[in-house]
Amino acid sequence: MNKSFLALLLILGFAITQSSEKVIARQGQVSFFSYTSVENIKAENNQVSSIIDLQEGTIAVDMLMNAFIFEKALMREHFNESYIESDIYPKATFEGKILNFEANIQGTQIKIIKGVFKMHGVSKDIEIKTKIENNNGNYILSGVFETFVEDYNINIPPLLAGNIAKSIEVNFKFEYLPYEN
Amino acid sequence: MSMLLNTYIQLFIPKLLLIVLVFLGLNSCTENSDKMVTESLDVKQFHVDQIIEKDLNFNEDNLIENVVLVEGIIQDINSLNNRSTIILKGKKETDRLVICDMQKNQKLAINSLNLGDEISIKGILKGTLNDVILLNCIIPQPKTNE
Repeated sequence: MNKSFLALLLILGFAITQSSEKVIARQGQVSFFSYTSVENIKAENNQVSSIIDLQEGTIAVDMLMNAFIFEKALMREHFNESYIESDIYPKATFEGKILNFEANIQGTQIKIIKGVFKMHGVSKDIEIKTKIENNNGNYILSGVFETFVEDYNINIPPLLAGNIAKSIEVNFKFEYLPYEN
Repeated sequence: MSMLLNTYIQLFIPKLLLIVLVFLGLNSCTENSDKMVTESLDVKQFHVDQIIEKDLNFNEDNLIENVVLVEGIIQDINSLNNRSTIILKGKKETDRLVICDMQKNQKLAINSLNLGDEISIKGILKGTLNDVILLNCIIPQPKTNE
């Protein structure tokens, strides 16, 4: 009797683990900075979507390029219309895997996420060092990486070349909740 | 006479230019880089259940970057990333929601809201990920007949 009860508990426990294997961040934050001697440009997107499959260690990120907020309207206009062409390429995506991810470890772990970042129609393999915090199943991923404008086929007119840095710093922070699909 | 006119022009024109520049500067002040949403704008109206329909083609209907009014039930109110956000759900069982990033001047209106309330929110439609995204949102106040 006791053995059957134990088996039932194990099955139930397995079923619960299976049902909560994915977590979602609906309001992830991604910001970027361009530092030049002419001007500094900062933009922020607070509605970035991301899903992690905790068992597989896979991660997907999806963001709308026209949802970046700038300090000045002209910066936003140039970004969307001239550089990123957000009407043609509305989204940037990332699909990758958290290497050696241990979903059950509580506290902080630093891991490498390897995957493909697609922006402005160009896909590029990237690796990002990421801080992963697990507080009783509430995961927070954060980090910073650099990306190069020329890698994504973004044309900056010579007149404005001095205003845009060749290397852009990207910061991100995602707070995940259980995904009930 | 011409000297008087020159003096007048020299004094008057810079002042006029200054006034015009200040006026333009004040009018270009917005909360952020996006266009502002105001109560007086007439816009297309949707219920959450309509706007989260996967068949709805935002591009075809010229809805992207335009102001829309969305009616739904408050699922969540949060201040993640130091921004006030209201998340609306519809009546159908689905995981797709409408995320409304609120203007800073809406804090008072937000404080009077409760989860489960049915409200209308006006904002700029940015597009759809898993959820539909609205920015620069406001809660239109009901018109009173005085």
